[in-house]
Amino acid sequence: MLKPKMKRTLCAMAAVLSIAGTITPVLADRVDFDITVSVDEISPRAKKADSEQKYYVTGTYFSLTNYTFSSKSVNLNNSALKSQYTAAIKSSSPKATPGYGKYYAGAGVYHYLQAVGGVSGLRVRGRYTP
Amino acid sequence: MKKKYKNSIMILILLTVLIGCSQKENDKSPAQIKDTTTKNTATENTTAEDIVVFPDRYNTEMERVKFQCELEIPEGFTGLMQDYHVNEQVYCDSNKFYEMFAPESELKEHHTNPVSEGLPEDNTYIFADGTTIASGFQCLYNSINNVYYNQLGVMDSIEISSNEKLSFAEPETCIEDVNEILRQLGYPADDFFFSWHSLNAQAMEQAEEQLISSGDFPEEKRKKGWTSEDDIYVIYAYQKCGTLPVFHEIMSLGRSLAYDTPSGAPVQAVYSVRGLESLLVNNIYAFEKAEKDLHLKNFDEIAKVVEEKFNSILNEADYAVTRAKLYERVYYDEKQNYAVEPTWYFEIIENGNESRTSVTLVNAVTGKEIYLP
Repeated sequence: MLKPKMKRTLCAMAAVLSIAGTITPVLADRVDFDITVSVDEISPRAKKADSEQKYYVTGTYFSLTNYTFSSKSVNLNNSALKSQYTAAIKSSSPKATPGYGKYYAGAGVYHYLQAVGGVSGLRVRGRYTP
Repeated sequence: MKKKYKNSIMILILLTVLIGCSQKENDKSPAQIKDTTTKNTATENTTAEDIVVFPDRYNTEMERVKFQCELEIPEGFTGLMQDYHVNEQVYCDSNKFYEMFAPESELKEHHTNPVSEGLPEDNTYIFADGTTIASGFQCLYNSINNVYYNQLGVMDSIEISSNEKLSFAEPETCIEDVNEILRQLGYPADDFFFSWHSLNAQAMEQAEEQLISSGDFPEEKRKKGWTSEDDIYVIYAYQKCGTLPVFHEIMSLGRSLAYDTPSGAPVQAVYSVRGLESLLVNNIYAFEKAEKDLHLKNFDEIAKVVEEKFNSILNEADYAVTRAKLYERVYYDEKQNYAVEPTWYFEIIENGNESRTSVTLVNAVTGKEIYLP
């Protein structure tokens, strides 16, 4: 039989996957994200404050050491419109400031951060400014 | 023999997990409904079975799940539910929008993003005075001052906002102004639930200072001198479908986007004494009544879905259901066509910690949970 602790862990994991999600108190043009690759892949929405053609991603927690987490900044209302360049971060280099490239991200437009690469199950928490 | 033994062990393990993850019906104590004052009224031509009557409040406790919320149902809701179709998403008249909001200032930049067939062009215009206009699948206007409001995230800044009226205008006047703009842009005006809050310059200046001193904000982003001219109303609106608010398609994209917040609203505007500082309109639909009526489940049945979901989680956390709101949810069905369904929206707080709030959606007709990606 499974040990109670293991059974508990499995059930808790299943539950967390089905209800995960939190309200992040928003102040400023950045949002906190908590993304798990292949499970919960998008951040809350954040409004782009100005017309600078860069976005900022900073990881503050990585469930796996030195596995790369790749993400893109995506237009909330049209997922086909997204940054050309990827933000690739890992525990040893947790900050990235890629450019939007061919996609023009206008001031005042809502975006979200979407995981586009990383080992399945990698969980990353951090901050995102579109 | 050895293999058979192994298989039995595996089956036993699976059963143990499944039993552990679910709760026995008999273990549950009965719901204690403390207030079932009703608010729905029948119309003349309806039969008793067509109408569902919802309580004003729902206060129950079932094991670790406690309901303590008002049922957010609009005033005009009768309990009789008609089915709707989405004819199309309504886009604004881009030329009209440009005409209305382009300043006299020189046009400095024009950017066009390629979009899929069937969608309007996505154009952004930046003028010498700092005004930005974007039109296409969304209509967006930003004054030069709006960058400071955007930086502070004024739409959702509940901590520093209030319902105090500002001296330069009544909030209702600003709301009427937004409604008139929507009308002129070809949107179905008057079909919105409007809300507002206000922020004064002092509170915003303090918030900015706090962000800079905590290192979250670079010094060069600081606004030079906040005055009462910077006081603002934040106006936002959710569309109506029949008598219910619309849970638009973007809110179903993922759990992190499902929250009922001002920044999720399809209409958002900011007003100061200088006038309109920003406007954003998107995800508005043209609805059409279908011929059939829908029969909603009573609230006890819906609440049970939420109770069972959270009571079956094998942890020791307590869950408080603090919001229950009836929506018309617009989404893409399996054939990638728009569909509409009456849906209950719940906010559930874990262990009294508001930063651990999740959303659960339940189809109001079938009583089935709707899973978001």
